[in-house]
Amino acid sequence: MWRIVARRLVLAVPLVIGVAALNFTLVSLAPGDPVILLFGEGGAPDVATLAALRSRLALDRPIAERLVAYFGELARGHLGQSILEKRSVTGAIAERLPATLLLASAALILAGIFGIGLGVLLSRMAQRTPRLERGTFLALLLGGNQPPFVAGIVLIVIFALILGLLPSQGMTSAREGGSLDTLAHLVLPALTLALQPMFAVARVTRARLLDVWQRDHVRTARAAGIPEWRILWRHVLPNALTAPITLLALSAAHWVGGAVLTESVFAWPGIGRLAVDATLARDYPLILGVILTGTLLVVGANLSADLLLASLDPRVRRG
Amino acid sequence: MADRRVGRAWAIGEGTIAATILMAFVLVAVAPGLLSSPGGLQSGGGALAPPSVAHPLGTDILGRDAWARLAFGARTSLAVGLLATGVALTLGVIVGALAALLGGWWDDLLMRAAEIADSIPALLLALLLVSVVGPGLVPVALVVGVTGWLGIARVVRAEMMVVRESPSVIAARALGAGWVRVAARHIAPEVLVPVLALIPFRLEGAIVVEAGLSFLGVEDARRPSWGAMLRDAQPFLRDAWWLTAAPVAALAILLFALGLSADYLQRSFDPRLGGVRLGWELDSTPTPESSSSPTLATRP
Repeated sequence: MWRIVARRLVLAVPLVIGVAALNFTLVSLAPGDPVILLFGEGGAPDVATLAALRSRLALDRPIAERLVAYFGELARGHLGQSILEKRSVTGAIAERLPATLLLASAALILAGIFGIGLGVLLSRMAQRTPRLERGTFLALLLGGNQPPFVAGIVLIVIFALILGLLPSQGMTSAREGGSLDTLAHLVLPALTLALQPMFAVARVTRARLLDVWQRDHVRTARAAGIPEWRILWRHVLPNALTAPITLLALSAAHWVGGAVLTESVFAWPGIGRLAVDATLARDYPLILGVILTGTLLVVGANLSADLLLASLDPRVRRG
Repeated sequence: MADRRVGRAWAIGEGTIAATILMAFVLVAVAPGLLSSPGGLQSGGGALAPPSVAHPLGTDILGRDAWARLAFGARTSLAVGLLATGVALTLGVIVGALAALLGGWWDDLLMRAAEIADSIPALLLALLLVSVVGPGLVPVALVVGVTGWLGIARVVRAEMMVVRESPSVIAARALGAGWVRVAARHIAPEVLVPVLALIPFRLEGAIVVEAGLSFLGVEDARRPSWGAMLRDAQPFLRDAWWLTAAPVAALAILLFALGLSADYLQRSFDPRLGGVRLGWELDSTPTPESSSSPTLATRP
């Protein structure tokens, strides 16, 4: 078990360092003087002030030296000052992160439950009514494999504009508030973000189930007269679950992008929106902070998937 | 398996549908002028006009013809998709082949590098790059290409390891064929054909990231893009729904055709895997023979 964690961490360290170094270097090579950007629209003061500020921010040092200093700051948990938010990047991210985590975990639960359920359904249909199954698959391919800015808008039109059932913007309403209100706001964004992974989970679960249903231990279980539902629950599903978990973990980087888009469609106040605002304002420290957070989320997702797989599959545990 | 047979019979029709949609898309992208005039991209005509003969999809808030923007937006999508796919193919084929040929320590290093590149959230990196070098198709395509070659490298590596020991290659060598001939005639087709099945996924990834960035409003607003059309249309969702419907339908149908073609290519090229390896982002799903990460990749 610990070997798995150790191995994942060994991979994670170069990833995080690499991403941080790459991003920092990119930003450092950016055209335009960050000191002037710092003053923004108001215009810059005289040359001496600029030079003083530049040396105070160590911008007159070589990139390599600044990179080392940047890593020193990172190691202490400092991500610098956000120009846009006029406060520490860590603070800005810490304030927005819970909203993103809420959205992501809701989407993950939806994708997991409905994806696996759909996969079970499809695999049963494939065995009994293959034509219907194929038709369902094609319908899902058209409707379920759409990015957040397509699926989200369609959901807004249906559930907010036409039916008027659910709110489509923000995380709380000004008047109501409370967790029930947040839940109502969460439904559409979570569904939007969950849609693609749900479909992906359904596909791999279906494929894996079709394989597992053919195995000897299932045949033996059937011969022993164990009811179908129990075979599914005890002998088939546990064997099939590793596939969707692996898929979700390996495409974690993709879902980070999905969260950014979903948050934008629904004005959800998470770190994805923060990243977009930071990009528009060229707030480099903030963008760097958000990318680093996103990368850490990917690492965390992979690590938890490893642990989950190890708990499900003894072969993984023994490595 | 009944499923397989029915699936295959249907797959012919599905392949035709996918190919027809994709060819129509390419035609519009290559020659948008056939169906509309670039003049439609300029503002003119009334703002938010409903669909009419002059403007089949209406006009947007600036009085630009939505049909012209849709047609020229296809060109943007195709350009980004092809460029990103080219980058990913180049990196994936070279690294995958090197990993297989050099083996050992190099193999490990190269494949770990591929995994690391794959773990970078492409959209966030694209946001950073856009803020640094400014908007443009090339940075977007580069980001998508550079973060999306793991699947290609894995397939190339795995195929390469099988093919170089295959009887046809050994026989060709024994008959005195040079390495160039062996590589071109015997190795390349075996290795590259399975890679074709991954191309729709790369196209899809690039098209989605480009449309996404345009939708977020960080791209050049003057470039026609389906994402930008969606963004521009959002405030008028109630009053001018056709402005939203057009890019939504275009994106949905294009992504459907890409998904369908991926499914079709996979079934045609890889009968061994049958219906088993059916991941969306199939390139993220490790193949059994190329399991390089012993934990996540372990499959029975």
